[in-house]
Amino acid sequence: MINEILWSYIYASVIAIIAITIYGMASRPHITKKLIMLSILSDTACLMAVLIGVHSGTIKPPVFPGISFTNHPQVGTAELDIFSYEAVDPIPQVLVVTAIVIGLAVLLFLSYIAILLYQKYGTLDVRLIELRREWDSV
Amino acid sequence: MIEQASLCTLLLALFMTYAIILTYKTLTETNLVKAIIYSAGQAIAYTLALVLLAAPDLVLAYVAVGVGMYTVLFLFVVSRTENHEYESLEEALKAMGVDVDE
Amino acid sequence: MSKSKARENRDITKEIIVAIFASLLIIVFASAILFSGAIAIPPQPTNRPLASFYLRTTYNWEFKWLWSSSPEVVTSILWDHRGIDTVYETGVFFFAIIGALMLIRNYKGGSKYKAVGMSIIARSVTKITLVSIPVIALSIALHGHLTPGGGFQGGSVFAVSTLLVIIALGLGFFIERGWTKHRLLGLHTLGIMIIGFIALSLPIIGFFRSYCGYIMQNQWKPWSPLGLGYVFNLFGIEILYSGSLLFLNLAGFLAVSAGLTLAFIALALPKEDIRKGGGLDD
Repeated sequence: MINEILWSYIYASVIAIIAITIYGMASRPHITKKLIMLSILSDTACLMAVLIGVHSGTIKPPVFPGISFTNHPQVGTAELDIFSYEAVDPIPQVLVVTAIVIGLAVLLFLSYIAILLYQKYGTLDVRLIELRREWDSV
Repeated sequence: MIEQASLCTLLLALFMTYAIILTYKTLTETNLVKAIIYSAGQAIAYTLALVLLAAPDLVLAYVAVGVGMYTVLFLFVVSRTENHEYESLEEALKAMGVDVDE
Repeated sequence: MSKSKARENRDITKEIIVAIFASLLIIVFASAILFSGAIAIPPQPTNRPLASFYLRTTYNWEFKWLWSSSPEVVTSILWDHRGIDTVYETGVFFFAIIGALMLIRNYKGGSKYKAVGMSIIARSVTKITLVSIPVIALSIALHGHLTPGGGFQGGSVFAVSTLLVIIALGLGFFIERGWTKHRLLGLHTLGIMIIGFIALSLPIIGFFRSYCGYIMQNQWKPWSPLGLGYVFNLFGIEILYSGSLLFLNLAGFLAVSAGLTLAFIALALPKEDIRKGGGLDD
């Protein structure tokens, strides 16, 4: 029973972090704060994907142990059966490796745009940018 | 009947608690340098959670990117732009020197 | 005063609506996922069938039709079974770096930078770690087909050492040694071209021998009998390089490290150069 409570708490906390970051992106007026919240959101989605792949019992990473450049014995079906019962799902980890690099690339691009915005408008507050565009267009 | 929860699940719950508290403090902090440091602490909590979930490739990638690069990237952005976030519109206008007196 | 107060009241109701909408969205999706059986609380006792298939066939020496000759399942799925996804992801990274160069598109470079960093203690310690971090990054990329690691992980660790140099030793450390944006962009493009060349090598060879070769193919298959090998004999010792995985990891390491170094050097230039390089004054 404690096991179920703990796992429910873990899933609920991940969902709570997603909700907090979406609210933070929509409601805070500074562009740098929005960028920080976006980075936390993408990392939390990656963590949730890895959480789905875990199974109960003993878990091991999805790497067959003991192989090196010169020591590579011929591995057959018997050892691979034990390996595939204990190892964790490898597919979410593959998608997350790609997602981390793409998230970094998108955030790099957005922060350059934020610097250029500051040079043009003199401020990074969304409400002040809106006011300045109204005054300039009048 | 109370079953035994393993140590890994307890530690995972502890690290997720750290992550929630630090995310909330990042949301409500108005000094942007402090907010960036809180987000670095939250990335460290995620790294520890990924170690417990048996994902060694992700730990290598996430430590370098999440803890190192995001923090320095946001600190560069703050150093080229401004440092403070204003909650209400009046304080922002006062800081820019506009007279708000109606 | 009345205008700004009315504007603030509108902001507060908007915030409450956004908060309620975000919470409702998350709760609806989470309960839909939970009650459909995709996630079980506590987790399910065995692996899913697709995961079991990948774990069983990636390093199976008795059934070599579907293997990728590498015991590291994550890297072999990344570069062999789902290789085209990784090629597109490298392309997305390339476009982001190109877009980041728009910040300094008019920057000519070559002005006199003196390498002024932090105090002498920080500089000496950084020079000691500057030798070890790139070596570790190269070893992570080289071992990517045997232990956890690979091209992206090694490239990220290399870029962290670049950040240390920019902060502790000053930007002049790079500019004095001739690391211009054109050379780093050339290295990045070289890495991506090597990946493209390896991806297209087996279809071109198959075209000239009238066999059917696939893009990003790694090993010999009965319906397409072309493959890069998996062991290399060096003075009687057999070395396990897993087909194209070793070369793809090294090319990925080159591309990612050069691209991230370029992005951070462009970000660390002084404000005057960024303002003149962005071209917003005209």
